[in-house]
Amino acid sequence: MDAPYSVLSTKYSVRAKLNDDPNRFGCDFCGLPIVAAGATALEANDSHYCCYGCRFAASIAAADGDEGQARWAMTRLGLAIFFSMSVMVFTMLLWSQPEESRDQLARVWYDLLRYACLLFTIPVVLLLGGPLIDDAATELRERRPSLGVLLGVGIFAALIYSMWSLFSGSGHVYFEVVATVLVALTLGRWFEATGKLKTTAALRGLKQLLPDTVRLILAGEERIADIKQLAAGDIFRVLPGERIPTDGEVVVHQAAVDEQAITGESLPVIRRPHDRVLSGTLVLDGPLEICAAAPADEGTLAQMIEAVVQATAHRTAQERLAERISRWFLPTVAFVAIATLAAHWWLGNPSGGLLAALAVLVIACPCALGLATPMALWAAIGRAAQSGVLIRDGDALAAIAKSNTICFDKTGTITTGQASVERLCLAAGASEQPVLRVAAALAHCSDHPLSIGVRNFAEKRLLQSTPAIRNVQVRAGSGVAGDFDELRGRALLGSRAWMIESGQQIPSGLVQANETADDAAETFVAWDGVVQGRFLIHEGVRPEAESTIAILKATGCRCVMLTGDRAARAQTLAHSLGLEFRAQLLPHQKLATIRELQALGTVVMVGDGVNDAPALAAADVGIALGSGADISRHFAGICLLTSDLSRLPWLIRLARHTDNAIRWNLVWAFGYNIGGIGLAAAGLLHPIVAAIAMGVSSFLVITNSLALARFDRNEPQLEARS
Amino acid sequence: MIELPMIFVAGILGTAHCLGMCGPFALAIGAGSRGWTMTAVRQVAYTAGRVFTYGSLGVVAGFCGQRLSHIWPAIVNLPAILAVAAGALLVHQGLKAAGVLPKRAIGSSATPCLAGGFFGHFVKRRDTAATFLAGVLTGFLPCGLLYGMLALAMSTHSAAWGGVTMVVFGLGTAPAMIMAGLSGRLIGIATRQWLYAAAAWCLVFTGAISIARGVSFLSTGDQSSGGCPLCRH
Repeated sequence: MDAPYSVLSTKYSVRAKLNDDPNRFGCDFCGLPIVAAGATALEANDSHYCCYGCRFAASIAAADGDEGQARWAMTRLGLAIFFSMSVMVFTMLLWSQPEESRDQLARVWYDLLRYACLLFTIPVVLLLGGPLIDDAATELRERRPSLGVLLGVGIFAALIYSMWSLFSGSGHVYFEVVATVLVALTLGRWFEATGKLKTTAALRGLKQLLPDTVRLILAGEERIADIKQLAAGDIFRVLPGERIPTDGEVVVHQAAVDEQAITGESLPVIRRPHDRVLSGTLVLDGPLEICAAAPADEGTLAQMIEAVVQATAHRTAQERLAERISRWFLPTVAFVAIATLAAHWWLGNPSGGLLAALAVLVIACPCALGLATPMALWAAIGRAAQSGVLIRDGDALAAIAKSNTICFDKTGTITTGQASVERLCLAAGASEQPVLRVAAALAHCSDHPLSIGVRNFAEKRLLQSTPAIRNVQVRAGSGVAGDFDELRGRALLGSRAWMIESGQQIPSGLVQANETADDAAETFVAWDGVVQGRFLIHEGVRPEAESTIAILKATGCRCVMLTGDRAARAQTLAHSLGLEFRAQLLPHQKLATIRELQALGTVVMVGDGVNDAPALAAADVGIALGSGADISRHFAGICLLTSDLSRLPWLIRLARHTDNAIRWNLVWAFGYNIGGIGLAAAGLLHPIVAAIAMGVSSFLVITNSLALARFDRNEPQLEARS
Repeated sequence: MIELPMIFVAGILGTAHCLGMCGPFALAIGAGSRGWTMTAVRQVAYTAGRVFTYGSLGVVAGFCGQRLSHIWPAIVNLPAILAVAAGALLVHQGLKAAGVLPKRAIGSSATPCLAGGFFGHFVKRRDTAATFLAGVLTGFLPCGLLYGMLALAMSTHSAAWGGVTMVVFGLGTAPAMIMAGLSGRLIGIATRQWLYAAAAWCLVFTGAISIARGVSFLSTGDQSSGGCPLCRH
């Protein structure tokens, strides 16, 4: 089956292309999505850049491959700066000349300075104007015209007008505008491209965690091989200080492994034979010999990278809005520029109109508008990935920022997931061994923590092997059922609510037995329409659960525990943790509860991802806890690679900061464009000031977004919701 | 422009400050050169680039001063105010350099430096054109001494004199920078510290003169009586 997307590695970025959207590419330099209005299919093998700055920056960054080209790109810009400074000096001296009563010498000096301006402007036009036109032509060819086309027209119109004024001996010259605007545009766009590259640094950092080679053990001999040759079942060696190339199981030796890069856990863990290790983690001491569970491109790290790429390639609602506006941006700006020129001309000031129209084109910055959302999202998604939080959907991040209700699954989420049976209560007439055999057979079919607890309990007491089982049905959130030949019927292992729903009679002596153990979880085994036994199970509560819930409540979030367990048990647990609860819920009742809560606001569902898939999918945001090595199987929008609940407040804080950054970026981009274009059209903004302001605008958006890439991971406190 | 010799001296003595800030660039420019001639050519090209930028900035500053004095001629005596402001800035820089005022770190770690790669590229390259461009870009580096001198250039209220002021200042910084680049370590740390202190007090002195000049403008309202009080005709 085809993957839903493909990941193409380039030197500087990871490029994403959604199969269902062939027009959506990431920029080959910065990796951000190319904002294209009505683009036709782009050739996958060609290089694509989102803007002139990225194209220029990529040509400079290619120093390793083609040093001559990179040196020329830099020299071109350096020389252009020198020539434009000279033009500015000549212009200042020109402007310093007294306007009236010039003598012959002053007149010669005046003309000399005007010609000097032209002489020094031509190299700038040749050095920087050429690539600008080239870039505009490329965009036209790819049918995604940008403002570069209009800018080229405006700049060359100013140049031709100034030359006409110079040679005709009358009228203003604007050579300094042409030279300075070209330099400021190129510098601004280049710095912008460099900033964008920094926002995607976290993603590239993940990719660099994978080593290029692996120490394969073949017939007892170690051989260095390309990582692509690694297959499932191969044995490989990892030395101290090296990263593990793929997921696997330790075969020989033991070592401390730093898993921070993948799970966000700061403390190293000891991995012994039969322990599972994750790709991208760092072996700190002692060698490890590992049996590969998957090729390197299917390991946890590769899955993480793919998940993040998919998230960043997905358009969020805010991005879709910005792109819709961008479609109207170009024609609107073109119209305003032409109208400005016409209006000033009509008022008798054609040269002022030309400058004003050019200022309109320069100040209009679709980059700030188009990148306001993705830059902040990329930075936040990358930062989260560094902390072991995989955000698979940008919309999930936006939704979690405004969430006001957080629902928790109980088993495996609030509790540790390591359940141990304290006691088996038998119905009158039932014997222990048959109950244990049937329960063990059913428990083997499920990975639910309670099933694992039952399985472990039974294995220690069973005297015979488990019976054959057929037609197994695992019902998420309820239990397991299967047909047994020796019972000549179907048996069930699961919750009290499910037993009642499926018509199994619960003997009154059984539920009354040991009622003092009401704070213990329970599961029932039944056949022939009667419950035969009741397992009382102890579940440890996660140590960070209480503090996490307290922090979440302090921020104004309503915390609700949804469980299929009985009310008495849920009440004891909920009371100790200080959260609301809904007990004895079957899966469809959990969904109904979530929908009921959704009527009051945005609902986040936190589960262990094993038996909560429907609830995770139904909530506005699903967060799967403890995804570990199996992130691909969850339907949750967000996966925590560890089972650490304390990540939740941090995640919400990150989401809120991201939301604020996006809002700020959008407000700034809209305000800057509307205000700037208005001032420019009125002739109140000089094109040089506009060019500098454009660079400042992009810088502010970049700085605001980059702050998310350095978002503090350690501070657990949340600011109170206002 | 009576102050020009003083500005040149400030440039010479300010070299100690320049060596602290931009000396590593001069050394990097000289590194890897084959022979004294090539080293000298590159140091001269680097210094020429710096002086070119200083001169250009001086022209812009002088022009701005001229325009401002035209815009508000009747309201305030702008050249006098600029002279006082420039003097205050120079005195502040001098006192900071002398250790009398506390120094503050420039910039913030939260602000990304996006231009580093661009500048570094020219410093590392070996050809003369790139060396000249490295000098041009070095001239834009943030520098309190430069800002003080630019304020002084602005106070000339003339584009041409503003440019001349800054070129003279740049030429003043040239000899020691070129020598430092040529020799690598011509000036020892102890000497540099002594020169640095001397430059700091020279800055304070230049600033005090500028303030005195501005104050005399303001008090007399007659610009023709301006100039260095020590050298006034």
